[in-house]
Amino acid sequence: MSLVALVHWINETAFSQYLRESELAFPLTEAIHLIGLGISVGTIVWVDLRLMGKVMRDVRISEVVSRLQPWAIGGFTVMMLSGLLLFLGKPDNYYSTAAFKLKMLLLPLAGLNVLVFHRRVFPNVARWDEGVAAPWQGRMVGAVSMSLWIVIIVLGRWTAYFADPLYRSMRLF
Amino acid sequence: MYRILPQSFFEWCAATPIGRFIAASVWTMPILETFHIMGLALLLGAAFTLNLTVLGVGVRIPSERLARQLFPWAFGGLLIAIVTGIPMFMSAAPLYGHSGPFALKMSLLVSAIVLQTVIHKVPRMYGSTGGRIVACLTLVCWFGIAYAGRAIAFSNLLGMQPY
Repeated sequence: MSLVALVHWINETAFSQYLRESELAFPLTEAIHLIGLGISVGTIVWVDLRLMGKVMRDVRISEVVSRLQPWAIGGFTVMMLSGLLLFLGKPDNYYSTAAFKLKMLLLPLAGLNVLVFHRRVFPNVARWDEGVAAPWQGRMVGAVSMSLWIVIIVLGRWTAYFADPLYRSMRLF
Repeated sequence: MYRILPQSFFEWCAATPIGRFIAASVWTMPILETFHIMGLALLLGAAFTLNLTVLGVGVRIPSERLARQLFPWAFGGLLIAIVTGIPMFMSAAPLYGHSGPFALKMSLLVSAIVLQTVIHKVPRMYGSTGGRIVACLTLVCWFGIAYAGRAIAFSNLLGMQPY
Protein backbone atom coordinates (compact mmCIF):
# COMPACT_ATOMS: atom_id res chain seq x y z
CA MET A 1 0.00 0.00 0.00
CA SER A 2 1.46 3.35 -0.98
CA LEU A 3 1.55 6.23 1.48
CA VAL A 4 -1.13 8.12 -0.42
CA ALA A 5 -3.38 5.08 -0.37
CA LEU A 6 -2.78 4.60 3.35
CA VAL A 7 -3.58 8.25 4.06
CA HIS A 8 -6.73 7.99 1.97
CA TRP A 9 -7.71 4.79 3.76
CA ILE A 10 -7.38 6.57 7.12
CA ASN A 11 -9.44 9.42 5.70
CA GLU A 12 -12.34 7.07 5.00
CA THR A 13 -12.40 5.35 8.40
CA ALA A 14 -15.38 6.00 10.64
CA PHE A 15 -13.10 7.51 13.31
CA SER A 16 -11.65 10.04 10.89
CA GLN A 17 -15.12 10.98 9.67
CA TYR A 18 -16.31 11.39 13.25
CA LEU A 19 -13.36 13.69 14.07
CA ARG A 20 -13.95 16.08 11.18
CA GLU A 21 -17.73 16.04 11.24
CA SER A 22 -18.29 16.33 14.98
CA GLU A 23 -19.13 19.85 16.09
CA LEU A 24 -16.90 19.56 19.13
CA ALA A 25 -14.09 17.07 18.47
CA PHE A 26 -12.01 18.97 15.95
CA PRO A 27 -12.22 22.48 17.44
CA LEU A 28 -11.58 21.08 20.92
CA THR A 29 -8.53 19.18 19.71
CA GLU A 30 -7.24 22.33 18.01
CA ALA A 31 -7.64 24.29 21.24
CA ILE A 32 -5.76 21.60 23.19
CA HIS A 33 -3.03 21.59 20.52
CA LEU A 34 -2.66 25.36 20.95
CA ILE A 35 -2.49 25.15 24.76
CA GLY A 36 0.14 22.39 24.49
CA LEU A 37 2.07 24.76 22.24
CA GLY A 38 1.92 27.51 24.83
CA ILE A 39 3.27 25.19 27.53
CA SER A 40 6.00 23.44 25.54
CA VAL A 41 7.33 26.10 23.18
CA GLY A 42 6.69 28.66 25.90
CA THR A 43 9.11 26.88 28.24
CA ILE A 44 11.55 25.74 25.52
CA VAL A 45 12.03 29.39 24.56
CA TRP A 46 13.30 30.22 28.08
CA VAL A 47 15.78 27.37 28.03
CA ASP A 48 16.99 28.55 24.59
CA LEU A 49 17.25 32.16 25.74
CA ARG A 50 19.11 31.10 28.89
CA LEU A 51 21.62 29.12 26.80
CA MET A 52 22.11 32.21 24.65
CA GLY A 53 22.61 34.32 27.78
CA LYS A 54 19.60 36.57 27.20
CA VAL A 55 17.54 35.90 30.35
CA MET A 56 17.96 34.61 33.94
CA ARG A 57 21.72 34.99 33.75
CA ASP A 58 21.97 34.66 37.53
CA VAL A 59 20.34 31.22 37.51
CA ARG A 60 22.48 28.15 36.85
CA ILE A 61 21.88 26.78 33.35
CA SER A 62 21.41 23.24 34.69
CA GLU A 63 18.67 24.50 36.97
CA VAL A 64 16.75 26.25 34.20
CA VAL A 65 16.99 23.06 32.10
CA SER A 66 15.98 20.66 34.88
CA ARG A 67 13.11 22.78 36.22
CA LEU A 68 11.55 23.67 32.87
CA GLN A 69 12.23 20.47 30.95
CA PRO A 70 9.39 18.41 32.49
CA TRP A 71 6.88 21.06 31.38
CA ALA A 72 8.36 21.23 27.91
CA ILE A 73 8.11 17.43 27.61
CA GLY A 74 4.58 17.36 29.05
CA GLY A 75 3.40 20.14 26.74
CA PHE A 76 5.09 18.47 23.80
CA THR A 77 3.31 15.19 24.55
CA VAL A 78 -0.04 16.99 24.64
CA MET A 79 0.84 18.68 21.37
CA MET A 80 1.93 15.46 19.69
CA LEU A 81 -1.15 13.48 20.74
CA SER A 82 -3.59 16.25 19.82
CA GLY A 83 -1.66 16.84 16.59
CA LEU A 84 -2.00 13.17 15.72
CA LEU A 85 -5.76 13.42 16.27
CA LEU A 86 -5.91 16.53 14.07
CA PHE A 87 -4.09 14.64 11.33
CA LEU A 88 -6.37 11.61 11.70
CA GLY A 89 -9.34 13.92 11.29
CA LYS A 90 -8.32 15.34 7.90
CA PRO A 91 -5.46 13.21 6.55
CA ASP A 92 -6.28 13.74 2.87
CA ASN A 93 -6.31 17.52 3.26
CA TYR A 94 -3.09 17.67 5.28
CA TYR A 95 -1.21 15.20 3.17
CA SER A 96 -1.63 17.40 0.12
CA THR A 97 -0.64 20.62 1.94
CA ALA A 98 2.93 21.80 1.38
CA ALA A 99 3.13 23.66 4.72
CA PHE A 100 2.21 20.45 6.54
CA LYS A 101 4.85 18.37 4.75
CA LEU A 102 7.53 20.94 5.53
CA LYS A 103 6.41 21.01 9.16
CA MET A 104 6.74 17.22 9.37
CA LEU A 105 10.28 17.52 7.98
CA LEU A 106 11.29 20.18 10.50
CA LEU A 107 9.87 18.46 13.60
CA PRO A 108 12.46 15.63 13.52
CA LEU A 109 15.17 18.30 13.14
CA ALA A 110 13.95 19.95 16.33
CA GLY A 111 14.13 16.53 17.99
CA LEU A 112 17.63 15.97 16.65
CA ASN A 113 18.65 19.35 18.05
CA VAL A 114 17.48 18.29 21.53
CA LEU A 115 19.34 15.01 21.13
CA VAL A 116 22.57 16.81 20.17
CA PHE A 117 22.12 19.05 23.21
CA HIS A 118 21.73 16.16 25.64
CA ARG A 119 24.43 13.96 24.11
CA ARG A 120 27.13 16.48 23.20
CA VAL A 121 26.56 19.74 25.03
CA PHE A 122 24.76 19.24 28.33
CA PRO A 123 27.13 16.54 29.78
CA ASN A 124 29.81 19.27 30.17
CA VAL A 125 27.41 21.67 31.87
CA ALA A 126 29.45 21.77 35.11
CA ARG A 127 32.16 23.79 33.32
CA TRP A 128 29.90 26.65 32.29
CA ASP A 129 26.88 26.20 34.56
CA GLU A 130 27.21 29.60 36.22
CA GLY A 131 28.38 31.46 33.13
CA VAL A 132 26.48 34.26 31.47
CA ALA A 133 25.83 32.04 28.44
CA ALA A 134 26.66 28.51 27.27
CA PRO A 135 29.71 27.96 24.99
CA TRP A 136 29.09 28.35 21.27
CA GLN A 137 27.70 24.81 20.87
CA GLY A 138 25.04 25.53 23.49
CA ARG A 139 24.27 28.97 22.10
CA MET A 140 23.93 27.35 18.68
CA VAL A 141 21.49 24.73 20.03
CA GLY A 142 19.41 27.55 21.55
CA ALA A 143 19.38 29.60 18.35
CA VAL A 144 18.57 26.57 16.16
CA SER A 145 15.77 25.51 18.51
CA MET A 146 14.18 28.97 18.54
CA SER A 147 14.42 29.37 14.78
CA LEU A 148 12.98 25.92 14.13
CA TRP A 149 10.07 26.50 16.48
CA ILE A 150 9.23 29.87 14.95
CA VAL A 151 9.13 28.28 11.49
CA ILE A 152 7.16 25.27 12.77
CA ILE A 153 4.55 27.57 14.38
CA VAL A 154 4.22 29.56 11.15
CA LEU A 155 3.87 26.37 9.10
CA GLY A 156 1.33 24.99 11.58
CA ARG A 157 -0.85 28.07 11.27
CA TRP A 158 -0.51 27.93 7.48
CA THR A 159 -1.43 24.25 7.44
CA ALA A 160 -4.78 25.12 8.98
CA TYR A 161 -5.31 27.73 6.27
CA PHE A 162 -4.10 25.92 3.23
CA ALA A 163 -5.67 22.58 4.10
CA ASP A 164 -8.98 24.45 4.07
CA PRO A 165 -10.94 23.77 0.85
CA LEU A 166 -12.00 27.43 0.74
CA TYR A 167 -8.39 28.66 0.55
CA ARG A 168 -7.49 25.88 -1.85
CA SER A 169 -10.15 26.92 -4.28
CA MET A 170 -8.43 30.33 -4.53
CA ARG A 171 -5.37 28.71 -6.12
CA LEU A 172 -2.87 30.93 -4.37
CA PHE A 173 0.17 29.15 -5.67
CA MET B 1 -20.21 42.68 23.58
CA TYR B 2 -22.89 44.21 21.41
CA ARG B 3 -24.83 44.81 24.64
CA ILE B 4 -22.05 46.97 26.05
CA LEU B 5 -20.94 48.82 22.92
CA PRO B 6 -23.29 50.27 20.32
CA GLN B 7 -23.71 48.41 17.05
CA SER B 8 -22.52 51.55 15.24
CA PHE B 9 -19.07 51.14 16.84
CA PHE B 10 -18.62 47.67 15.33
CA GLU B 11 -19.88 48.88 11.97
CA TRP B 12 -17.52 51.85 12.09
CA CYS B 13 -14.56 49.51 12.80
CA ALA B 14 -15.38 47.35 9.80
CA ALA B 15 -15.85 50.40 7.59
CA THR B 16 -12.43 51.92 8.35
CA PRO B 17 -9.83 51.60 5.56
CA ILE B 18 -7.90 49.02 7.65
CA GLY B 19 -11.00 46.94 8.28
CA ARG B 20 -12.03 46.97 4.63
CA PHE B 21 -8.51 46.28 3.41
CA ILE B 22 -8.13 43.16 5.57
CA ALA B 23 -11.60 41.88 4.79
CA ALA B 24 -10.84 42.10 1.06
CA SER B 25 -7.30 40.73 1.28
CA VAL B 26 -6.49 37.03 1.10
CA TRP B 27 -3.05 37.19 2.70
CA THR B 28 -3.29 39.80 5.44
CA MET B 29 -5.37 37.71 7.84
CA PRO B 30 -3.09 34.63 7.73
CA ILE B 31 -0.02 36.83 8.22
CA LEU B 32 -1.58 38.66 11.16
CA GLU B 33 -2.69 35.38 12.73
CA THR B 34 0.79 33.94 12.34
CA PHE B 35 2.30 36.81 14.34
CA HIS B 36 -0.63 36.71 16.77
CA ILE B 37 0.10 33.08 17.62
CA MET B 38 3.85 33.77 18.03
CA GLY B 39 3.05 36.60 20.42
CA LEU B 40 0.82 34.13 22.24
CA ALA B 41 3.58 31.52 22.55
CA LEU B 42 5.94 34.14 24.00
CA LEU B 43 3.33 35.51 26.39
CA LEU B 44 1.91 32.17 27.54
CA GLY B 45 5.40 30.77 28.06
CA ALA B 46 6.47 33.74 30.16
CA ALA B 47 3.24 33.79 32.17
CA PHE B 48 3.47 30.03 32.65
CA THR B 49 7.10 30.03 33.78
CA LEU B 50 6.51 32.95 36.10
CA ASN B 51 3.35 31.66 37.73
CA LEU B 52 4.89 28.21 38.18
CA THR B 53 7.63 29.88 40.16
CA VAL B 54 5.08 31.70 42.28
CA LEU B 55 3.44 28.29 42.85
CA GLY B 56 6.83 26.95 43.93
CA VAL B 57 7.29 24.40 41.14
CA GLY B 58 9.18 26.51 38.60
CA VAL B 59 12.74 27.78 38.48
CA ARG B 60 14.14 28.15 42.02
CA ILE B 61 14.89 31.84 41.93
CA PRO B 62 13.15 34.57 43.91
CA SER B 63 10.13 35.17 41.70
CA GLU B 64 10.39 38.93 42.05
CA ARG B 65 13.76 38.80 40.34
CA LEU B 66 12.46 36.32 37.72
CA ALA B 67 9.45 38.53 37.11
CA ARG B 68 11.69 41.50 36.35
CA GLN B 69 13.62 39.41 33.81
CA LEU B 70 10.60 37.84 32.11
CA PHE B 71 8.45 40.95 32.09
CA PRO B 72 9.93 42.56 28.95
CA TRP B 73 9.40 39.31 26.99
CA ALA B 74 5.88 38.75 28.28
CA PHE B 75 5.04 42.38 27.59
CA GLY B 76 6.55 42.10 24.11
CA GLY B 77 4.45 38.99 23.41
CA LEU B 78 1.31 40.72 24.68
CA LEU B 79 2.09 43.77 22.58
CA ILE B 80 2.52 41.64 19.42
CA ALA B 81 -0.76 39.86 20.16
CA ILE B 82 -2.63 43.15 20.72
CA VAL B 83 -1.11 44.95 17.75
CA THR B 84 -2.03 42.07 15.43
CA GLY B 85 -5.33 41.38 17.21
CA ILE B 86 -6.85 44.84 16.78
CA PRO B 87 -6.74 44.87 12.95
CA MET B 88 -8.07 41.30 12.89
CA PHE B 89 -10.98 42.44 15.06
CA MET B 90 -11.61 45.47 12.85
CA SER B 91 -11.88 43.36 9.70
CA ALA B 92 -15.00 41.62 10.98
CA ALA B 93 -16.00 43.70 14.00
CA PRO B 94 -19.78 43.12 13.85
CA LEU B 95 -19.15 39.37 13.76
CA TYR B 96 -16.80 39.45 16.76
CA GLY B 97 -19.16 41.78 18.58
CA HIS B 98 -21.80 39.05 18.48
CA SER B 99 -19.42 36.22 19.35
CA GLY B 100 -19.75 34.70 22.83
CA PRO B 101 -16.18 33.34 22.93
CA PHE B 102 -14.82 36.74 21.88
CA ALA B 103 -16.57 38.43 24.81
CA LEU B 104 -15.19 35.69 27.08
CA LYS B 105 -11.71 36.19 25.67
CA MET B 106 -11.78 39.94 26.32
CA SER B 107 -13.08 39.41 29.87
CA LEU B 108 -10.37 36.84 30.56
CA LEU B 109 -7.73 39.15 29.09
CA VAL B 110 -8.71 41.97 31.45
CA SER B 111 -8.85 39.52 34.39
CA ALA B 112 -5.47 38.01 33.55
CA ILE B 113 -3.78 41.42 33.33
CA VAL B 114 -5.37 42.57 36.60
CA LEU B 115 -4.47 39.34 38.44
CA GLN B 116 -0.91 39.34 37.12
CA THR B 117 -0.55 42.94 38.26
CA VAL B 118 -1.91 41.98 41.69
CA ILE B 119 0.77 39.29 41.97
CA HIS B 120 3.47 41.83 41.19
CA LYS B 121 2.27 44.83 43.14
CA VAL B 122 0.81 43.31 46.30
CA PRO B 123 3.55 42.49 48.82
CA ARG B 124 4.05 38.93 50.13
CA MET B 125 2.26 37.30 47.16
CA TYR B 126 5.28 35.13 46.52
CA GLY B 127 5.35 31.91 48.52
CA SER B 128 2.05 32.50 50.35
CA THR B 129 -1.12 30.47 50.04
CA GLY B 130 -2.99 33.53 48.80
CA GLY B 131 -0.34 34.07 46.15
CA ARG B 132 -0.62 30.47 45.02
CA ILE B 133 -4.38 30.74 44.62
CA VAL B 134 -4.05 33.96 42.61
CA ALA B 135 -1.29 32.39 40.48
CA CYS B 136 -3.57 29.40 39.72
CA LEU B 137 -6.41 31.71 38.75
CA THR B 138 -4.08 33.78 36.59
CA LEU B 139 -2.88 30.68 34.75
CA VAL B 140 -6.47 29.57 34.14
CA CYS B 141 -7.18 33.03 32.69
CA TRP B 142 -4.12 33.07 30.40
CA PHE B 143 -4.81 29.63 29.00
CA GLY B 144 -8.54 30.33 28.88
CA ILE B 145 -7.68 33.21 26.53
CA ALA B 146 -6.00 30.79 24.12
CA TYR B 147 -8.98 28.43 24.36
CA ALA B 148 -11.58 31.14 23.88
CA GLY B 149 -9.51 32.58 21.04
CA ARG B 150 -9.62 29.30 19.18
CA ALA B 151 -13.32 29.02 20.02
CA ILE B 152 -14.06 32.31 18.21
CA ALA B 153 -13.46 30.50 14.93
CA PHE B 154 -15.96 27.83 15.99
CA SER B 155 -18.42 29.85 17.99
CA ASN B 156 -20.30 26.72 19.01
CA LEU B 157 -17.22 25.31 20.76
CA LEU B 158 -18.30 26.35 24.21
CA GLY B 159 -21.98 26.06 23.40
CA MET B 160 -22.12 29.79 24.07
CA GLN B 161 -24.82 32.22 23.12
CA PRO B 162 -23.86 35.65 21.78
CA TYR B 163 -23.29 38.15 24.51
